[in-house]
Amino acid sequence: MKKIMIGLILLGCMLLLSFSGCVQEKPSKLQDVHVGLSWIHEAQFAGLYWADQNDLYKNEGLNVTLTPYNYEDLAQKLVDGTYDFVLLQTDTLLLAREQGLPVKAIFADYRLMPTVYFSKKAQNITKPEDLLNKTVGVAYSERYPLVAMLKQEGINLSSVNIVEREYDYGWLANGSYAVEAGWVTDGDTVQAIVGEYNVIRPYEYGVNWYADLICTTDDMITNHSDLVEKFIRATSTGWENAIEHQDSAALLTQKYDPTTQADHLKFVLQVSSPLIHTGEDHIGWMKKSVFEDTTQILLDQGILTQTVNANDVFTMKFLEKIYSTG
Amino acid sequence: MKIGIKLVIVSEILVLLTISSIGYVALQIGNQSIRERIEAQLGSVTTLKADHLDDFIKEKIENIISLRNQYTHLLLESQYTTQNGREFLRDRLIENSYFTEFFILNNNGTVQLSTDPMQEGKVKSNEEYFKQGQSDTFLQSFYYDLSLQQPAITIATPVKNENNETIQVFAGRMNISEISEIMSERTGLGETGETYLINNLNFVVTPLKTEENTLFKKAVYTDIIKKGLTEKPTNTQILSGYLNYANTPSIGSYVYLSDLNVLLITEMSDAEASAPLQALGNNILVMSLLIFFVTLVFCIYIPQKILKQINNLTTITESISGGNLGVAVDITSTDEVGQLASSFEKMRKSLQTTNEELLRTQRNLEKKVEKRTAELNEKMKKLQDSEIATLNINEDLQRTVDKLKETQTTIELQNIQLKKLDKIKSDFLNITSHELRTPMSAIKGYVQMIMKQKLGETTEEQKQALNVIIRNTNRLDSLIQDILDISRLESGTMKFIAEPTNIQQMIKEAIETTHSLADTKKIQLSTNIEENLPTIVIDKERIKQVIMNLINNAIKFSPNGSSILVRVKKETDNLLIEVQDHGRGIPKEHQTKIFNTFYQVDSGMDRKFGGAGLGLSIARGIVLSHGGNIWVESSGLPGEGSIFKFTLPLIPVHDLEGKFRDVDIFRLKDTKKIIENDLRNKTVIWKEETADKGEKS
Amino acid sequence: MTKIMIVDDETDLREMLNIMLRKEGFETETAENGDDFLSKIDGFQPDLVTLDVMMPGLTTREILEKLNEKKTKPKIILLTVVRYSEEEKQKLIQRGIVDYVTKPFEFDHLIDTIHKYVLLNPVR
Repeated sequence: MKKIMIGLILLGCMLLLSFSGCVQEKPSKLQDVHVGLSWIHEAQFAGLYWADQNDLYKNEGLNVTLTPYNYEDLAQKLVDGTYDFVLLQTDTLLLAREQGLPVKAIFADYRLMPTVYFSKKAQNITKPEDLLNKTVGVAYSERYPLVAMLKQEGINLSSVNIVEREYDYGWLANGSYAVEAGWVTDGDTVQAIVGEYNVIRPYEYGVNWYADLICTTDDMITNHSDLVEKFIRATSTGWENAIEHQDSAALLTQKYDPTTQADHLKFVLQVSSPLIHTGEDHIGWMKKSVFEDTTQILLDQGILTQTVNANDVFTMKFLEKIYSTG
Repeated sequence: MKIGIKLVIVSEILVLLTISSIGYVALQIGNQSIRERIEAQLGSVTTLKADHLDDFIKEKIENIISLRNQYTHLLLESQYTTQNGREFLRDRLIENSYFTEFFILNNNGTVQLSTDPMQEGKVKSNEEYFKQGQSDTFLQSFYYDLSLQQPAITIATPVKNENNETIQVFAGRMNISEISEIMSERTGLGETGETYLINNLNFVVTPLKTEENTLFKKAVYTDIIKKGLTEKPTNTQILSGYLNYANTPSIGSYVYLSDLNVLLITEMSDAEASAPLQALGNNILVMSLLIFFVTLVFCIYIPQKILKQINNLTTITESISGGNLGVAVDITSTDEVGQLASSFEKMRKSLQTTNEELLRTQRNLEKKVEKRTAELNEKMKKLQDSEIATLNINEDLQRTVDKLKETQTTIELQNIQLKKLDKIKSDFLNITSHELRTPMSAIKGYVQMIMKQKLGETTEEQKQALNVIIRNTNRLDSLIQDILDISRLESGTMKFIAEPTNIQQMIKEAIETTHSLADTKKIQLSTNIEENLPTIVIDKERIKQVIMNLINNAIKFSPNGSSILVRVKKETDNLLIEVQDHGRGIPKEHQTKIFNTFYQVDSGMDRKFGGAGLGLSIARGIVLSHGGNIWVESSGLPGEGSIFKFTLPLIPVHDLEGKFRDVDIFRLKDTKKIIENDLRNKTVIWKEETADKGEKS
Repeated sequence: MTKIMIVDDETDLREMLNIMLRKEGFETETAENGDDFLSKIDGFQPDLVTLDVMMPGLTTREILEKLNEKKTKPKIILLTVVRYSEEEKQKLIQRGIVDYVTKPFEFDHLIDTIHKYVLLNPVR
């Protein structure tokens, strides 16, 4: 009897070992994945950080490197093969596609536009019509939602003084600008410089696009869909957890950039999370109408010279697969 | 093992068996009923709350519809201004505290009027409630309002003009706190029981008991939610044995509210659910222990009395066996033990009586013995008087006894002398035998060598001379053999070797050896041996010697050309062997004497034929030693021949040598008889008698 | 050649057997009593021994016992004056006696008996 017991225990141990061996086999075959972020390390990438630091990528067999933005053409670098995935904005994605670069969005971080227009609270600038005869400082793509909003509201463009801004909220503080554009995540900086502030959110006035879209090449989508699916699965779980545990997730940023400040990181994630997880659908979800509307806006403003087919620009294939199996 | 302990063990085993089987059944039944109760409870809470919610929502929808109607009425009045509109909305808001905002959207989806001025101008065209609300009353359930940064439920309904065209959308936004309160209303579910709502995206939309800050932030993927969102059952369902959002094993009921697009879950931990079962189990355990110990106490106490009685009996038995019959037995009960005690007591009383009788008898006997002793003493005195008289007789007797002792000593000495003589004879025979044989060996050996021309060629004359030497050497050798044989027989030192013998074979060998001699006188030797003779235990060589001796005699005394017959017959107890010849016969007066040593019928004749007259006496000695008899039958008339007969017993004579000592070669038996007679006549005299008295006495 | 040792205290008999067996073609050696026999046996290494039973000095039994200590183990034929029973014969065989011949013996009987146990010229 004793012998049978020992034999069974040994067998069990052997089975366990072989199983653990099986499980452990995967890490030895980690695939290298390079991700080009859209900005320097910031809590706005908390979902990816969470996935990275909690071995979600590792468990999918991926060795992910998150590279912060270095004033490069991310779409080009993606197509070159320097990166496997890059974070683009809706406008840069559409422009890349217009140029024939075979890039597609597979996941959207911000489903509500984080671009807002800051003003001192005392100014009571809360709606687009309050911008009449005001100087608004914008940089690059910050112009497009402003113009779209004004058009939407039927406000004459010439009655708003739109200027190229310096990246300095001091100008807002000293009154050079009545309104200055920025990301909602700059809020704490604005508060520090300007004091209490108001924001105009474009999506409240019918203007919205996606920010920080995870993009990859057509080739990746077709020929390496397994890899893409694994990356997206880990990333979406990472985002769900980051939303649920916001404070601790925000601090994950410090691993990549120890100089970042905890309070700022927490603020960033706090104001970002309702834009990322809207509650309307799963994180990462994309709708065709957003791409179509944005294409229209960009065409109107002459940024795009030709229509881009929305279907060429994004695919829901991976998200649908992940969320159908739960 | 003591009875008491046995009883305890048996009782406790019975108790344990009973309790465990009852307990098991009870727990099984208990488990079942508790399960059912819990499930019923959970189910009813879910159903209750679902209904409550349903009713609440329905009520709110009705509110909105009625408010919209009022507003429409107001709007279509000619005095309508936006100010009126605002006031209307604000007033209504105060009345309807469940709502947190009322607002009007135009056909573009822009907020035209709102109880919250901040919302005016905002574009809600993407919101589902606007899109749907343009055509029909729509409830947008549990969504996250971004401008307000909180979850909300909004009911929108179209505002239509007289032409039934939608001109505006009337919407009211609700705080979900009311709903949260419905969820968290206590329903007697216990500590861990709670109800909450989950939306289609797996997000928590009402607060959870054990976790904070989860609204619209936490996505839960437990089994119950998976099932609920897949099945979307409109009737309450039960699921047990799953892990809830906090990884606690739980049991829960769920139902899908289709108007709110949420899953309602009521769940409690398994531990709490089965707590009553635990309690039942504990109770049973406590009861069991109680019963166990009570039984133990009774088992120890009750037999005490009986054991006491038994021990008492044991003590009394011991004292009785020690001799004390006087102690009575206590009879303290009427049960079997009591009966045993009472019969024991009867036995004791009867033993006591018997004992007393015995004592009495003993005393009587003692008295009788005393009397007898006295009588004997008197007799003794009388005897002593006659003692002196007998002394004289005793002296005479004594003298006779002394004389006998002398004679005995003399006889003993003579016996020793005789034994010495025997030994001397025996040694003499052995040495003689060796001393006689050695020269014979040398002579025979060399003679044979020379005869065989081993020592060189021999002439004819030499060969003849050697033949004579050999013949005479052999004759001498025979004589020596015979003398040695007869000496041994007479001294009783002849060594016999008894072995099972085939008589037929033996006689065949004897005939072969004597054949050449028979042929010299042209005498025919024949045999008549009975069939199927048993094997007989005898000294083969010696009996063969006997037969050859008889045959040789027969040849010696038979005329030429006659025949000799050797016959063997089986008798009841013996084998009878006969050698018959047709010679001159033996006269009657010689028929016994011929067996004597050195006896010859006719010395002249015998000398002619050779032989020292030892053969027959040797034959006799051998046959008698075997326990048989040898004799001759002859008419005595010449020509009629004689038949020499001897018997051999079929049952072997053990210890042939010993037996021989009883055989009387020198007829000492007769001498012995004379001595016996003399003794009787009180004279001790040797007397010699000749052997002629005949064997048959 | 087969070797036979002749042990007998009577000089005449010893010599006679010596001549007899030599004539028959055996190689022979003689000894006049037990001690003499035992001292010579390992030197001569006889195949067969004729042993007289009645000799002065060591008894037949003692001779046979001491023979166990010797290297040579010849076959022994006793020359005796008495007959033996079956039982006695078995005992003798256990002691190394292969047969016996009674004295006085016939020449042929002795030679035949010896030939039963040894060959004249054994194959070596």
